[in-house]
Amino acid sequence: MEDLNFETLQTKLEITGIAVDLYVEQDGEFSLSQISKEIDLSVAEIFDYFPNKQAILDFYYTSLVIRYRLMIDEIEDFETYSLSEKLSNFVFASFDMMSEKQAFVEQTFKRRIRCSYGKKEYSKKVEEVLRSFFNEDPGISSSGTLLLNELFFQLLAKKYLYLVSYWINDDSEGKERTMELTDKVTALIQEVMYNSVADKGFDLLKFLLSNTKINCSNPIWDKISSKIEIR
Amino acid sequence: MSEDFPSTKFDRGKIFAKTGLKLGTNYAKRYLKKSVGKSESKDETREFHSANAKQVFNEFTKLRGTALKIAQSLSMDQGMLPDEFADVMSQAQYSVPPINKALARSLIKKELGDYPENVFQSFSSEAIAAASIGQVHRATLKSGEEVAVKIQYPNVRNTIESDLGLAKTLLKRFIKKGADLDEYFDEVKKTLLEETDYRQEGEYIEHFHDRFSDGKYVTPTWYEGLSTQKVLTMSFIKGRHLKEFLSENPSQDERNHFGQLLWDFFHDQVEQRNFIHADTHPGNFLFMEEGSLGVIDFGCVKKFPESFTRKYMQLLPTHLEQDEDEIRRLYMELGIIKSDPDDPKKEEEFFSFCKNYGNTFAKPYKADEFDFGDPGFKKKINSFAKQPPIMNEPRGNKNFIYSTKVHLGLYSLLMKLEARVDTRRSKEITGKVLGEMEN
Repeated sequence: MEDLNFETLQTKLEITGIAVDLYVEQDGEFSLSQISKEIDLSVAEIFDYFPNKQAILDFYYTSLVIRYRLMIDEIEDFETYSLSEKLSNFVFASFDMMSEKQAFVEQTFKRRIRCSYGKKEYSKKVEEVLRSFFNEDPGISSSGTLLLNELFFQLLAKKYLYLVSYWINDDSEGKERTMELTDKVTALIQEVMYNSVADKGFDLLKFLLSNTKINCSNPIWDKISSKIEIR
Repeated sequence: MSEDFPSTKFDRGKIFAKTGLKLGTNYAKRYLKKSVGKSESKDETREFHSANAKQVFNEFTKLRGTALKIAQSLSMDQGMLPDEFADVMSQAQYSVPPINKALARSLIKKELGDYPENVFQSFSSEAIAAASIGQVHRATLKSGEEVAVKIQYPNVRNTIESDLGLAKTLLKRFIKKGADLDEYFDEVKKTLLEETDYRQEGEYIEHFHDRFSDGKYVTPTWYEGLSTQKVLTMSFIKGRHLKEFLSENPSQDERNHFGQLLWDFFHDQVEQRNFIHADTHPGNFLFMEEGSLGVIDFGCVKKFPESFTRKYMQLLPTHLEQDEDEIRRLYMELGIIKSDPDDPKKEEEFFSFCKNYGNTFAKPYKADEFDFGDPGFKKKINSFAKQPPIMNEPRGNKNFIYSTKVHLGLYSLLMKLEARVDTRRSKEITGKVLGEMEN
């Protein structure tokens, strides 16, 4: 989606915005001709941007991640954010964007995203964003990097989707309960990833193994060992 | 990092319990040591209190919010804690770890409708001060004015009730059975609710700015359009805190100058018979380069009932004149001593203690000038706070919670400054105000 030029993106966002509003106003029903009336495009031209109506609605969620990427460029000191701050920022910004079309999110998030069959483009984009935070963070311990595999990011993306569901159902003032939950979850993730206790353990193990002349030429050990060396 | 804001009753209760457990273990170890005949030196006692204080600090700063405020209001200010505890509690008043930058940013968006970079020309994501219920960021308005933006931690207002409940349970362990704490807790609750309403604080800022903006004192102005109940925008005041000022080794004249301003600020407020800045601690005063005194943080502002103020102020001339009957009458009316005590001997001892404390407190008003750097005075004031003969019973009118906070806070600042102050005008003010109240 990153190869979208700015004009195309603007048009796609405009089409999606209109579709989402119509969806909410008309109880889940809308037509391309209705969108066409609201925007300076013919129905045929809308097809240049989206293959069908469902794709327009799906793009609403995907666009959240694209908008977020643009948003972080505006945060001057984003690079100084710690891992938990980056993760929280992503979640909070998602909530802020979703609150602009809250009724649509409330009606569609569970069905279209959380419980949908197959992995949606949106979930893939979420995983990508999360992966970039972890890959670029210099504070993650060596043992922490061992966790950074496909499964981990899938799990993390699932947790993110869970937080969105929690936010949708949160009835506390200003949804502050979700803000706190997010804060706690991201703090815990950071604590686990930055913790170097396991590194020290591996270090000790490495020492013991190399000084007791045990043959340790197995692939797992080599992998761990090389990570420690690199660090 | 300070990411965790324990907001549920369970989380916060757990921290109270954990702190209690840790301290309990420490006290048990100490008891065991003593019981096997090992004596403890003064240094060991100090070390013991310092270690405990650090643990309390670590746990309490996690609580942030109202629990920290309650602990400060009900213990430190009454001088019930050892010095080491009082120090860490006072430190916690303006140096709690800040919240995560993303959360602060999101709170601004929620309250002011947009992200800080869109609302302000510039906004520093690093907090310049983090205290018990909120933290302050520096920012520049689009019009170029420098401002301070105070953000309240999420859910603080909702924790007041449960924190008060927990604090009451904890305090009941130390207080005489059957003693009524409700009046005090109601007062603290009322104040905390006000302190967590930043719109109210904004109005106080305006009120104080109208009263004190002659150059001698500098107070902020309120930006109402950029403020809500949970975000407060005010003009930025540049100055040094007490610690910073003292680290520059100021001359005695400089110390006297700022000491006099602090002394005058208190008495000018008394003279105006209006709201009083009731949070007299080092974090709320700024020593400015041009010689003015900056006064910030108007969250805890009080207007005491005239009936209380009159009696409280009458204590000064009665102590100066050593009129024992009148002192006794005032103490009784202010609820300090009882007319029908359970233990008359102990009560008399308490009266004598309070009278001596009052005499020491009135000492600065005796002559035309007073030296707060006098080590004897400092020692005496501190020893009074630590050794009241009746410790497990709340005494005195509920307004004492904040009147002592102001008065003791002022003395504590002046003693740290070691300032010599001219007290002539303050005596005139006291006499004049008492005269006005009696007419």
